Amino acid sequence: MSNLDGTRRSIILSETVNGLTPVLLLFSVFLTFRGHNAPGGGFAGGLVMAAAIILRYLGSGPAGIRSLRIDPIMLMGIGLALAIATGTSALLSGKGFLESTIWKLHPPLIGEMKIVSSSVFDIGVHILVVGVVMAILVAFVEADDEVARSRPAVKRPASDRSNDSDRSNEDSQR
Amino acid sequence: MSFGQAILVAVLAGAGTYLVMHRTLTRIILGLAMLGNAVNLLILTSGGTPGEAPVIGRTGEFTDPVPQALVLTAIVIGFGVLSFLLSMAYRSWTIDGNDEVEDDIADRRLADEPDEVVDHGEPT
Amino acid sequence: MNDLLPLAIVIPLAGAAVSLLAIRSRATQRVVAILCAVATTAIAVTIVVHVDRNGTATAAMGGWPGSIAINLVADRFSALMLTVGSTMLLAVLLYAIGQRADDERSRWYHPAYLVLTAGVSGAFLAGDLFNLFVFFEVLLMASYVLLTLEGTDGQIRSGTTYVVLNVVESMVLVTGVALIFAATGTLNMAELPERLAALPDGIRLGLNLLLLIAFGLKAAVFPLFSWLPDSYPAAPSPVSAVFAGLLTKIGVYAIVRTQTLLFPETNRTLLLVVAGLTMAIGVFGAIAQSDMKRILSFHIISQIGYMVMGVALGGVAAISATIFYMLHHIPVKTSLFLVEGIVERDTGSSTLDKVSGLARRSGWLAALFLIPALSLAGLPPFSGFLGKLGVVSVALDQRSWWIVAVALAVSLMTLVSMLKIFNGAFWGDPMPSQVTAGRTGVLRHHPLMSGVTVAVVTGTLAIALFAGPLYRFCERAAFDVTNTASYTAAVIR
Repeated sequence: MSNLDGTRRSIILSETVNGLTPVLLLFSVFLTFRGHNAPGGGFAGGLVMAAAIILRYLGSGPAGIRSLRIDPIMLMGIGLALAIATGTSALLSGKGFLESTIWKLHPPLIGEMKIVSSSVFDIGVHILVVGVVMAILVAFVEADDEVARSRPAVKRPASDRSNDSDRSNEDSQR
Repeated sequence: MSFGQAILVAVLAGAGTYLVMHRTLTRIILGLAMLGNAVNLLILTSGGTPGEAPVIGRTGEFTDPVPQALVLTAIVIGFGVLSFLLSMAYRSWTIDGNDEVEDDIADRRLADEPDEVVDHGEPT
Repeated sequence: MNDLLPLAIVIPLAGAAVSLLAIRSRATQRVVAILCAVATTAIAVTIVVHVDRNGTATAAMGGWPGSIAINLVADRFSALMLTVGSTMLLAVLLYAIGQRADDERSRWYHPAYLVLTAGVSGAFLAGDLFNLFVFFEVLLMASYVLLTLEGTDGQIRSGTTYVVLNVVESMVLVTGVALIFAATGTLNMAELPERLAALPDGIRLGLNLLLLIAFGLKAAVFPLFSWLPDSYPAAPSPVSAVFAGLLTKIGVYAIVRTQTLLFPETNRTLLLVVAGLTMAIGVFGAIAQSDMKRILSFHIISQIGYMVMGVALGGVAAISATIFYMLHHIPVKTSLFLVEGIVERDTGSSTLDKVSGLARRSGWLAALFLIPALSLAGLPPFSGFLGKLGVVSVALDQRSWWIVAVALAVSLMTLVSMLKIFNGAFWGDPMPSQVTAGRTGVLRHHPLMSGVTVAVVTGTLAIALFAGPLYRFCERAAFDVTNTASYTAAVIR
C-alpha cells in the first residue's frame, strides 16, 4: 500500500524535487506562452506543471499535496470556464467562434509586445489540465488512505476465487 | 511513409493487440497505449515527407501541418482515456484485490442453464 | 443565425464548467444543468425551423474560410437529430433529478451529463471526420464516467468491457481517418465526396470498411454488439435510458452520414446481411433473457438492424424511412427504460421473477409501458408501425424478399418478448412482499419521474399522430442527405 506516508521517503528524491519544482513551474509557464506559434501550448505546459506536482507528491508524500490547499475540481471549473469564455467572447464581438484577436502593445523598454486572445484560451487549458491531473492524484491519495484505514485482506491471487473453476473449464474447451 | 516508420507502426500495433487480448486490465492498458502510439504514428506519416514548418516567410519543402494537429488531439484524448482506465484498474484492485476483467455474470448464468434457453429460444 | 451552431455545443460545456465550480452545491448544479439543457433544446428547435426554411446552415470556426476552417454543419437530418437528442437529454435530466441519481455519491453526475450533451450536439453538427471523432470521444468520455458513477463492483466490471471496446473502436476510427487523409488530403466532409470518388475502388472499399467497423461498434450491429447488453444494464436507470435512446443512434447517424455522403456508390449487400443478422440475433438474445433491463438492451440491437437495413437499401425513400425510424425509436426506447426505472424504483428489482402484478397496483404504469412496447414491436397505429412500414415497403420495391421476411418475423418476436415483460411484471397477482404497499398509485409516489415518462410517451404518440408532416420532413431531410452537391455548396461558398 502506501509507502508514501512520509515515513519511508527518500531524502535524495525530496531534496532534488525541492530544487526542481521552481524550474519546472517556470518552464511550464514558458511552454504555455510559447505555444502560439512554436511547439508548446496549454496542454504541454499544464502537463509539465502537473508533473511537478506529482514529483512533489513522490518526494514528500500526501502532505505535500494537501498543503497546496487548492481544490482541483475548482481548477478544472475555472480552466474550462476561461477557455470557453475566450471562444464565446469572439462570438459576442461579432466574429467567428474561437476567432482570435491580436493586440500590439508598446510598453517601455521591452519594445513591441504582441498579445493574442488565444493565449487566454491556452491559459484556460493549462489550468484545466493541472486540475484534472491533481484531481486524479487526490482521488488516488484518498483511496489509498481508505485502503490503509480499512486494511483489507491480503491480496488474493486470482486462483482463490470461486468462479475460477468454471472459467478454466471453459478456457480448456476453447 | 518511410520503411522504418511502417515497421514501427506494425510492431507497436502487433504488440498492442497481443496485450489487449489478456484478461488483466494493466496489460490491456499497456496494450492500448501501444495501439494508440501506433495509430498516432500512422497519422503522422499520413502527412507525407517531413520538411520545413509551414510558416509565412520560410521557403523550401513544407510539411503538412494538419496531421500534426490531429496527432496532438489524439494524444490528448489518449491521455485522458488511459488515465481513466488506470483509475478503473486501481478501483477494481481496491474492490477485489486483482484487476482481472471478468465475464458477464448474467451471460454466465444463462450459459449454465442450457435447457431453459432452448425452451424460450424457439418461439416458432 | 449561424452563431447558434457553436452555441449548441458551448452552452452545455459552459454549464459543465459552472457545475464543476458549484460541485459542493447540488441545488446550483441542478439549476445550471436544467437551464443549459433547456437552452440547448431551444437552440436545436430554432436551428431545425431555420434550416427547414432556409436550407443547410454552416458555421466556420475561428473566422477562417469554409474550406480550411473547422466547420459545423446543420442540414435537416442533423438538425432533426439534434432536436430529438437534446429533448431526450432534457427529459432524462429531469427524470434523474426526480430519482435523485445525482446524490452525494455522484456529484460528478451533472458535469458529466453536460459534457455528454455537448458531445452529442457536436457529433451531430461536426462537418469534418476528425471532429466527428473528437466529439465522439467527448461524449464517450462522459459516458465512461456516467456508467461507472457509483464505482460499484458490477459497474467497474461491465464498465471495463465498455471502455476497452470503445477505446479500440476509437483507434479503428482514427486509423480510418488517418488513411482517408493520406489518400485524399482532406477531412472536410464537403470536399471528401469528390476526392473519394477519384480513388481506386479497392482503396475506397477499404476506407469504407474501416469507418463501418468503427461506427458499427458504436451502433452495436452484428457482430460487434456484445458489449451493449453487458454494460447498459449496470448503469443507473436514467443513465441507461439516455444511453439506450441516444448513444447507439449516434453511431447510426454516423453510418447514414458517411454512407450517403462519402461512399454513395457502394454495393451494400453485405450491409443488408449484417442488418438482417443484427435484427435476428438481437431479438433471439432478448427472448432468452429474464431481466427487464437486459431484454430491453437486446431490443436496442435488434432495432438497430432496421435502421441499418434502411441504409443498406439506399435511395431517398429508404433513407427517409431510416430517419423516421430513428426519430421514432429514440423517444420510444428512452420511455421504455424510464418505465423500467420506475418499476425498479418501486419494487427494488428489474428481474421478472421478482416483480409481478404491477398492473393491479397501477394501471397507468402498465399503460405507460404498453404503448411504447407495442410501438417498438411495430403494431398500428403506433409510430413504430409507420417506421417499419417505410423500411419494409422500400425492401419490397427492391424485391429483397428475404430481408422483408426477416424484418416481419423479428417484429413478431419483438412483440412476443415485450409481452413476456408485460406478463411477468404487470400481469398476474402482486408479489406477497409488494401487496403490503397497497393500492396507492405507484405513479403518485414518484411525481417528477412519472411526469417525465408521461411526457415522453405522449411524445411518441404525437409522432404517430403527426406522422404525415413529420414523414414529409424526413423525406426532405433524406433528400438533403443524399444530395451531395447541395451539402458541398452550402459549406464551401
